[in-house]
Amino acid sequence: MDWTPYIAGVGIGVLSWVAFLLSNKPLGCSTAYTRTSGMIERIFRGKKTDEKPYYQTFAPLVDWEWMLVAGVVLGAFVASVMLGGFSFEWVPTLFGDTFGYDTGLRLAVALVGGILMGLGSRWAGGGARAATGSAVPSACDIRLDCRCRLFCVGYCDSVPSLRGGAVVRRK
Amino acid sequence: MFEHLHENTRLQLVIGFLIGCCFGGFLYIGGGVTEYNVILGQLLLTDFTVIKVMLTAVVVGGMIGIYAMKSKGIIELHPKPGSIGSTVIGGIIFGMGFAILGYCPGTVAGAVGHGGPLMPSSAVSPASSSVQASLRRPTPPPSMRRFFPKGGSFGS
Repeated sequence: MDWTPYIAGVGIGVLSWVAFLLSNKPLGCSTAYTRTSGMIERIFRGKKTDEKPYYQTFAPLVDWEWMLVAGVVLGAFVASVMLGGFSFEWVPTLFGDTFGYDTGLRLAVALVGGILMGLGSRWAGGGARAATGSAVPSACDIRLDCRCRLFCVGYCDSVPSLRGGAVVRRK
Repeated sequence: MFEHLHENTRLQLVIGFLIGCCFGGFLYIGGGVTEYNVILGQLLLTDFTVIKVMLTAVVVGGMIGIYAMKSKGIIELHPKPGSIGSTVIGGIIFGMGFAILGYCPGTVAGAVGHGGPLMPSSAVSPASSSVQASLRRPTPPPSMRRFFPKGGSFGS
C-alpha cells in the first residue's frame, strides 16, 4: 500500500495548524492571483487600478497569501528536483492522448478554464468555498462524476478551518 | 501567545513563504497531486490520490487540530459572510474551470514549480482573476441579488 498520499495529507493538516497559530491565516491561494493581476494592471493603468472597488478591498500588493503561493512554487520545485521528478511538459499526457499534443490548443483550453475558475472563486468568496459549491451542481460538467466532486472537492471546505472557509483569530 | 508575530508584517511574509514551501513540497510528494493527470484521474474516478490527501488533511488539520485548539480557547473561528446562493453559483463556474484547466489555484502553483504541464497556466490564472476584478461593483449584479440573501461579497 502506498502511504505517501496520507503522509502528505497529515503534513498539510499540521501545516494548517502552524498557519493558524503563527499567522492567524487559513491556507488559501486564489486571492493572490487577483492581487497579481492588479499589480500587472497597475503597470499599464497606474493609479486608476486602485480606484476599482474590488482593489480597494483587496489591494494589489504582496501579502501573506501571495508569499504562500510563491513558496508553493519553490517548494514543489525543490521537492521535484530532490526526488528527480522535475521536467518541462507543456501538454499533459492525458490531455494530449485525448485531444492531441497541440500546445496552442492546450493553452486556449487552459485560458478558458482559468477564466472560469477565477470568476467562480471570486463569486463564491474564495477558491475553497467555490470548490464546495462545485460539489453540488457537478452534473453541469458531463465528464465528471458528482460523487467524486462531493467528496474530493466539496468536503475540503466543509470543515471551516483547513482552507478559506473561515478566518481564525486568536483571542 | 503569538500576537507579536501576527503584528509583524514583514516577518509574516517570511512565515507565509516558508509555510508555502512546505505546502508545495507536501503537495508534490503526495503522490503527485500537482499533476494534471492525477487531478483529472480523480475527477474521472480512475485515481483516488487526491481524495486521500485531501480527506487526510481535513481530518488532521480541521477535525483534530483546529477544533482542539478552538476547544482549548487558543483560537476563535470567524466564518466569512456569504450565502448558499453565491457559493453554488460560484461553485458551478469554478467547477467547470477547475475541470477544464485541470488544476485548482493551489495546485497550479505547484505544477509550475515542478516544470509541470502547462507553464503558461501560471500566467493564465492571474489573467482570469482580473476579469472579475475588472467588474465595477464588488457585489453580484442586482438581478442576482435574490440569490444572495446574506450578501455575497467577494472574499479571499
